Amino acid sequence: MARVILGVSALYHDAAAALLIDGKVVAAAQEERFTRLKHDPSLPVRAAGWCLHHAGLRAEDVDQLVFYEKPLRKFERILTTSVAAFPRSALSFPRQMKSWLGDKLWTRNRLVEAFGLPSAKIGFSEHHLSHAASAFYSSPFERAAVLVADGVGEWATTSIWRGGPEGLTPLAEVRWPHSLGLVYSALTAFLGFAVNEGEYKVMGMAAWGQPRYLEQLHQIAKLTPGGGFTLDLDVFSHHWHPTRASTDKLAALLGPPRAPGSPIALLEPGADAGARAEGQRHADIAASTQRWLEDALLHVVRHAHALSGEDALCLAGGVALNAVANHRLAAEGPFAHLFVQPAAGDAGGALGAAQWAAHAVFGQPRPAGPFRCDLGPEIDVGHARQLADDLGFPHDEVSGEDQLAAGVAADLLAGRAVGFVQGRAELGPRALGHRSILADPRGAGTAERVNRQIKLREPFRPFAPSARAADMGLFALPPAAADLAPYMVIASPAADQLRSEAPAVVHVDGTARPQAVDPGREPLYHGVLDAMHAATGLGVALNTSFNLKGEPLVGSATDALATLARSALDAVWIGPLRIGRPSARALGE
Amino acid sequence: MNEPLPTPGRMESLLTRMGTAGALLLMLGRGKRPWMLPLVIVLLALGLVMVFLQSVQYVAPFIYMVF
Repeated sequence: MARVILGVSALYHDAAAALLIDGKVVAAAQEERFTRLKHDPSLPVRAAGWCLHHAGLRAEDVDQLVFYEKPLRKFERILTTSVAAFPRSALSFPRQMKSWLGDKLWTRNRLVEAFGLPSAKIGFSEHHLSHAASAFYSSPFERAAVLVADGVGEWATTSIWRGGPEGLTPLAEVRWPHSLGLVYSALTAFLGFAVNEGEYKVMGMAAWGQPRYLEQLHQIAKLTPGGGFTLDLDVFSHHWHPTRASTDKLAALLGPPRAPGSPIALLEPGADAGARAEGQRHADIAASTQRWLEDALLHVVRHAHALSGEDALCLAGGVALNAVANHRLAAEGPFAHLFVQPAAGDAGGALGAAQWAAHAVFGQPRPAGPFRCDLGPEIDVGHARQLADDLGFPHDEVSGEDQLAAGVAADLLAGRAVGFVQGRAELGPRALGHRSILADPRGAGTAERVNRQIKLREPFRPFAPSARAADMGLFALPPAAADLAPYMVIASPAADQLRSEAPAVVHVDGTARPQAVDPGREPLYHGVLDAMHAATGLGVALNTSFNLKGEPLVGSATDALATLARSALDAVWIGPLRIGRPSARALGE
Repeated sequence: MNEPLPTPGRMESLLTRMGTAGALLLMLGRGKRPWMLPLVIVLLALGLVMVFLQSVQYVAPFIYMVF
């Protein structure tokens, strides 16, 4: 009889559920796509319900539910840290206890109540083990070293594993409060961005600056022999302060922090010289933070290589989403092959928890073939058509993939930015042509238009290109990164042709974060790029996630039409259905 | 789309909580931090009272004013 395993991540951020049947990933989805709350941490009842519904199963058919971490070990860490940091932790202790004693400590009860399963069917993985499993068991490698780096799990903040047919073996770890991820988060907060959300902004901003604070950062976050690192705990305060990740000593080193929400003068026309200098200082801090992270990761990765003796490396944990650092690991690191789990954050933890149980605990075979991210729900075209009719959105329909690809390409070539909703939703933060906004990258003003009028986000942030797999020569991907090409997880130098012909997808430092679109894996999307290539000689599209600032990726036809109505997007393609902008009258303008 | 899920009884729920409390005490007792046991016992008692009061209809709204 088939073994059904449900992986669950929740209660911190990016709650998700993943369903495996006999070791094969059948479905995975994030709760935020259903509740419309970005990074929603609540137990993924809707996502799990959808996974089961998709597989034609009911809750009682689940053989094992695996939660992605061990809450009791986490509670132990929080108590120990609070006692050790007393009396400085006096403010954070009551808050932590309220949250834990009233809620998180009783995770088993909450899982029983939420999913209707007996307690005996509920098991717990470990946070870093779940991440490691999500990377290793999704990779094409039989054997590999695995590096997990994030803020913190139970105790580990960075861990090295060896993966093979025998399972995952821990080799080394760095423990709380010394954390690569939390250094980056502390600097993210220092630069006025929200933690767990603004790290991408720091990475994007880094390209505009020079790392002139790198030495200071290496003083307060030192790399130590044996692949480790240690933080100056007088400068960082995440281990005892309820809301601040750094003390005033950081400002003494780097100058005053940026106030959240204050204008960033990097690209603001009309900003005065003082504001520009301040904007440049912020960009220099971002560049130094980025460079420090890369140095630290290289340091750890070299140790992982020496320790494991493997020639392939898998990466997961939130830090693995740093595409710029991934390029340095591939270009300068000792490993011959790299794989990054595209859902490297906590959403991927649900997947990894289930994969670990299936392959390492129950010994089920790993499925063959490359990992696919499109594991979520499809959007119902009939519902989209009905909604468009009811709300007065103009729409028409094409038949067949060739016509659809030609229609989308025609829109892009006419200078339109369109929503592209096709097939099942992606797991993780990357839109890979299933819940994407596409535009023609050839115009220099395209990036600014999509940033300011459609995505409504900061103008200094870059856009990524999707290119036909055959055109990957447009990017200087290191040989070790060959397995990363389909997932948009590495930012590499762009070739001169791309820089001159598609400036909208090349960042200010001349790099791009590409997605290779394979005709076998993504025939429709490849068809769109093929049609663009036939018309312009360049088979490349600007591809950004289909959402507005502060919102999750669209999850339903209603979300797609609401996004169309509230932005300057020109149209949305949902399956074969093209929905145009409604008239101003229909919008009530 | 989803079937309503069966809700566990109060006794079953209490037993699960006791199991969690026991597992925590066992983990600390067997590990490197047995000195934390008295603190944890007090906190667990507080936690169980909190959870119990949260389930009492007329008291629940005032719990977070107390703690």
